[in-house]
Amino acid sequence: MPLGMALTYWVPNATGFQVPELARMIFYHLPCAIICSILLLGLAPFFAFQYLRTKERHWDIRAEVTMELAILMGILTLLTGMLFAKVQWGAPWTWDPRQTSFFIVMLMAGAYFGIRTAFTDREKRAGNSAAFIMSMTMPMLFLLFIYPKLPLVQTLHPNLLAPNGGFDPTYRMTFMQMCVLVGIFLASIYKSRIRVRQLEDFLENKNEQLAHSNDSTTPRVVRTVSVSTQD
Amino acid sequence: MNSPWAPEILAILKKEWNAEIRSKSGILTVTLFSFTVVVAIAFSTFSKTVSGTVAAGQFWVALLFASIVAMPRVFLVEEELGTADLLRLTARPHAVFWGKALYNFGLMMVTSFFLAGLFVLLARMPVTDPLLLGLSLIGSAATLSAGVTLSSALVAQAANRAALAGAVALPLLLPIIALGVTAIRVALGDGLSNGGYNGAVGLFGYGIVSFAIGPYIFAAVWKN
Repeated sequence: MPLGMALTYWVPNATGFQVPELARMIFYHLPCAIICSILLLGLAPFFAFQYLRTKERHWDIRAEVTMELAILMGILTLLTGMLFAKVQWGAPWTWDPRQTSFFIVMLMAGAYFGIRTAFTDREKRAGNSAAFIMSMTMPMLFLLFIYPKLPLVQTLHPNLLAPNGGFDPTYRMTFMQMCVLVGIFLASIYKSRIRVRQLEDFLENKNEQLAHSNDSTTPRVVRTVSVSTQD
Repeated sequence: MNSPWAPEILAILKKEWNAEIRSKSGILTVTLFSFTVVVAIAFSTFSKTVSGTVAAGQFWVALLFASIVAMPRVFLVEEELGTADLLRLTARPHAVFWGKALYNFGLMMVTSFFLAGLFVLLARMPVTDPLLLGLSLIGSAATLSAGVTLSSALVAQAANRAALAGAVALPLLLPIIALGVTAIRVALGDGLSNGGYNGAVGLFGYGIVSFAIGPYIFAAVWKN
């Protein structure tokens, strides 16, 4: 990440912004937004579908970790966006359609964790939260890709990735490098988090086994004991 | 289990209808809620006339909350009364979803037309395109009923299901507001007719896709 930060200072100041130096925020904001909305929120329905198809626990763990990271990247997107908006547009929150639709997607991701915490039974928790991810897919696609293009909607967000949308080759290259670096950073967090969740799952299994072994319904071993009455 | 779907779906629908006729809980809740919302809007805006877009937004927010109040009970009541397990044994998941979603669709049709009537009469909303308003209300009822039926099924077995039903359903339903307001604002005299009909078509499309996908997602969790 320090390398990435150094790269963003290497490019010249952007033109057409009120505070050109701070336009570099785009190198943090846009990769976070793209990785959150396309990669993570695209992978979560795949993992959820795989869980519903196979009922294997590791798919549920992957879906949960993916949603955790989506929330993390979503919050970073919103925070960097608010900072950018405050500097360039004069207010941190303008109810811009893209801001609002992204915020609604974050609310959906929050509702996913609402469902997870509401179930104590592991199978039901995994099944219902996977089904929730599947049911949020269509509204999410609508919000991220269709809603900003509706005729009624007017956004301040420029389309920087369009062929002649505003990024010059230097900015485009730096942006791509930042995407790769943020992606690598995220992959390492994902790997560690998966390992932690697997260990938690393992411990939860052990606890359940111990709880069952102390249960009165478990068959007991009965030994014959000889009692001597001769004294 | 190769029997036709229709009798099973109709049986579920009839069961819901009979339960409603017996208790009248859903329709009473919705009627009271609709009156309260219209009075609250008139009270909070000091009876000022608002533009078509703002009125459409207010109407849609009212409709959204009315759906959250009225519809989740179809699954929550089953779990509270302990009849859900019997339903799991006697009917296939797709039939349960369709039966309950169709009942909710009927309830939502009544609610949306009743609420629109109250808005027109009490909040003095001028309707310039009644056909578009009618189509939008039918499309809204379809999308809301499919969405709320599915989300209430997902939380029906949760510990705090009553509170969770609204918290889970609302974010899923928020996107529909964009389409609904696009259509209804034109019916109330704001914006171009073309955009309004496109919004209504969008609502129908969203509803059809929700009804098509819903049973499959529901089937994955219903027998857990």
